[in-house]
Amino acid sequence: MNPLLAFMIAPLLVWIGLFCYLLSIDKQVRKLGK
Amino acid sequence: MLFKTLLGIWMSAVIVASFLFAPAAAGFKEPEAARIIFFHVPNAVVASIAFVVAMVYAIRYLKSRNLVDDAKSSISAELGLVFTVLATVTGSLFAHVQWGSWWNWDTREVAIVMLLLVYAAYFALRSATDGVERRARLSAVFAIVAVAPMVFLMFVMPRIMVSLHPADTLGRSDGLSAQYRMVLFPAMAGFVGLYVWLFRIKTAIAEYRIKIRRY
Repeated sequence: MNPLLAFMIAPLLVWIGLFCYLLSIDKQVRKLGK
Repeated sequence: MLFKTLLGIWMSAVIVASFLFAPAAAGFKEPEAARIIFFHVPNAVVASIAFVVAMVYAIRYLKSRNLVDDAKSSISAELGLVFTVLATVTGSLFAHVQWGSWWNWDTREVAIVMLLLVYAAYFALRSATDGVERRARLSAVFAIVAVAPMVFLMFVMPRIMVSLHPADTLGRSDGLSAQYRMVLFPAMAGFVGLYVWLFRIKTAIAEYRIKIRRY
């Protein structure tokens, strides 16, 4: 496996994690507004 | 939802491109590590934008006396502070690789610490002031005045003093290669999108708090 490809996974996972977390907060905030 | 989906895909593509599309940067001590600029530079750019937005909403608050404007101003300053911390951390990581030390007390490093202190003072002021209206008024004035040291520390000081940090890399034709620009500018757009999303979430929460009088 290309080491660069392996290293790329870390920021990608951080981003996916942050994205999912923000999506869930966004959903809760929308409910709050209703 | 379209904005969020696009942002999710966009940022993922930027991360992949920064590793697979952009080549290793020749001329650096660790050419592969130079990819950190795709995260370091956008953080610094977004921080500057956030502080200017904080100033704009502070001016709007002083005109309208609407607490939502005060909330937006403080949210933007808060996000600016977060992005400044991220720019400092990523800068320190790269300094360790390129200059051989985590912290060199270089002009740019001193400038960013001073900037962090300016906005830390903004939040110290907010937390130390009693009364919602008084707090909003004082912090609006602070947010407007703080833009002057922000511009000086981010854009002027590193250019008039000797620094290890490169300056004007985006403006110079011999600065970044075309491939680096093709990743860096979309990365900036992605980070601006992330800032907008965070700003909207926090604004919705603040509006609700104002509505239920828990602000």
